[in-house]
Amino acid sequence: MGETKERIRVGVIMGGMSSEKEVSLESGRNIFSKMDRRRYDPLPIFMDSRARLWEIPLKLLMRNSTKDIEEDLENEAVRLPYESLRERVEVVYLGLHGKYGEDGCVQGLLELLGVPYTGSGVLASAIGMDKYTTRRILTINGIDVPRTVAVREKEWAGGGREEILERIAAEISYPCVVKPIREGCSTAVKKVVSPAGLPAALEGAFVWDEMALVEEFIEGVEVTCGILGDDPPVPLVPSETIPTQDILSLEDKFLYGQGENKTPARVPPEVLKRIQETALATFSALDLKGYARIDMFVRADGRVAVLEPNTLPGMTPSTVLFHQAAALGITQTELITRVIEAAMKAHREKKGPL
Amino acid sequence: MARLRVGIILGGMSSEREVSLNSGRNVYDNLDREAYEAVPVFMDLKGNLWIIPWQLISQNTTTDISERLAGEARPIGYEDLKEEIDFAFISLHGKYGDDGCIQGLLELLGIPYTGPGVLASALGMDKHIQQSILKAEGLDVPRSHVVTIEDWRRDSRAVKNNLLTLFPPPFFVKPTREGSSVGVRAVREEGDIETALEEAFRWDLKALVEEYLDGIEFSCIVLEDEGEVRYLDVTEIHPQSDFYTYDDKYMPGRCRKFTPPKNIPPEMTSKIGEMAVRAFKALGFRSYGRIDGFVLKDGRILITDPNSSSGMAPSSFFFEQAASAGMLPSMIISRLIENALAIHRGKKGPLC
Repeated sequence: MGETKERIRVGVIMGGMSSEKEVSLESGRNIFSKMDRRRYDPLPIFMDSRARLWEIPLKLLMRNSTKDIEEDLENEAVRLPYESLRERVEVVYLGLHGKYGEDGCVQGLLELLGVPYTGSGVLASAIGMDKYTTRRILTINGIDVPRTVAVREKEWAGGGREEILERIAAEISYPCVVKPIREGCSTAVKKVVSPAGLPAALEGAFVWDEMALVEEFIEGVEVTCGILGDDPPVPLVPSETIPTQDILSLEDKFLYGQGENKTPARVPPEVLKRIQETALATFSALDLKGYARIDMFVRADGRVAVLEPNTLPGMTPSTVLFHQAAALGITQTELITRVIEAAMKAHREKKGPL
Repeated sequence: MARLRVGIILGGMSSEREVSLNSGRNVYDNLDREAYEAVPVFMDLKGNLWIIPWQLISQNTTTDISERLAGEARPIGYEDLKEEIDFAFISLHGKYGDDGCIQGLLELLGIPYTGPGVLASALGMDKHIQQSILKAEGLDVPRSHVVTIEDWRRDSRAVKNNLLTLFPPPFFVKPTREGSSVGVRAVREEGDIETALEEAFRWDLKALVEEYLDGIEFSCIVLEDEGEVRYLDVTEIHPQSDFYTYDDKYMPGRCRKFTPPKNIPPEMTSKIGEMAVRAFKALGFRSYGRIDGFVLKDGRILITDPNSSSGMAPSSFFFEQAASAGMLPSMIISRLIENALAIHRGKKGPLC
């Protein structure tokens, strides 16, 4: 077993506290399964709904839902106090998505512990989760984004309605898209065709967050492009997303066979190149690390507008990121290896938090 | 009724841990004991937490405390913090402490805390992104330029030439992510560039080169109070050396401070306050913050350094401006805690 000793111990954290915990379970399980066993010795770690960490046996890992796992943690899993990560693993592969996992919270914890992790650091993760801040920074860097008005729940509820409606009519007009400022998935994203639909859409978004975004509805081709954060970062092959309804819904993105992806996107070669350049520019403007997937729109006039970055993109078995890598001949196992190697390098070289 | 257990987190892993000890000790000393129970929580150099007895808080340095931890303090796991405290008063400064890391941990644990959330704390630590956001919001910031360690190692001649074209000396070189003027050097002539950049790169992989500002420096505490963001007062700073150093900032009597300002006219002072409030909001700060800047000779007001936390030593701007607004240290501390509790009650997911 001398060989085992030299393999790198990788903790794969999945589950978590966001609305995307089921997707996270799928991602984490897939990362665990596809990881190169000659180099790495993966350890499945489940984060429960109270942010506690558990080392789970294979039996639990293969359960259907986070709820099914959570029920048997006390009996079947080994509790891992945060500090124990320092001894148990050499690097963490974050299979988490959404709030707490993808927004800088877990990254902050791992920085305090001094444990390297995959993907972006605290600041870039937190920016990436906040669509409004992301857009402000991209705009500063000369990158096209949808016209956006941010609405605070407090202002909306506090008698600012008239003024907000006027601003939206003037700056965005209809149809427009309303979404919560943070949550990762397409939850509570609504297309609104007239002012009458706005209150319900905003209030739906405020269930999720204290701030909502009202953005222009872009008529164009929705595309997404992964970036591998090697040195220098490499763009994968862009995909096109064909929505079954007006707005990408949760089911579209995460239920197999419901949404349709075409890789490469069916656009002219020069547009394909522009999509890759925009994704790269976004990666660098937001100081992202490791890997990411950038969602974009190709406008009717050919300009590429950035919708949002995914700083911990889905890693489920049939996810679009893998199609894009496959188009370059990169297997799932190889992609996972490159993400881990990029993480180890970035954390070796950093001064203070990543 | 049981008193709210306020954990005062102090020490930490950054270059500013001694400042943190001074701040934390002072918060501990002034915390209203009728309303709150004070629990001093020391973070050591490895990031481990200890509940320390009051005898250790009065130690001179974090090294003195560290030496006595094993015998006199009680180690606690991160997750045990939930059992020990109801609220965290973050008295940490610098990396890991006011850059979003400890905030991330507290969010995971569900413990409310002072200051802004993960994103705004992290933004508050990165001088470069901060400045670009402020600029985009129409606030005046110093001219600056980022030099990465790779560029410098690859072609230092080109970096030097470029800097000299952009900024005729004197100018400043700083790490992008340190507080309290740590790693800051003034460049007076070409020969200083190398040492200044090397010093900055000791602390970070990116250095920020900034124009030299000729004017009056100010500092302004901003408070989110019952849902309204307002400024406390403005302090005018006259450092003894040619720029405001770490020592000036933290050694009592090292620089002269006037609250309210002596050499800035009142209408300008209120304009500074309004700009500080705008900067606070633009960066998404919550709870409180300290906005530093300059009034230039031509009357322009520049925001140079927004901080998502503030030193809380006895003679700090924080307590000086609170005093000027008629509040004793214990009163402003209580206010900060009550406002932070209300802020965290209203959040959906991590504080934003």
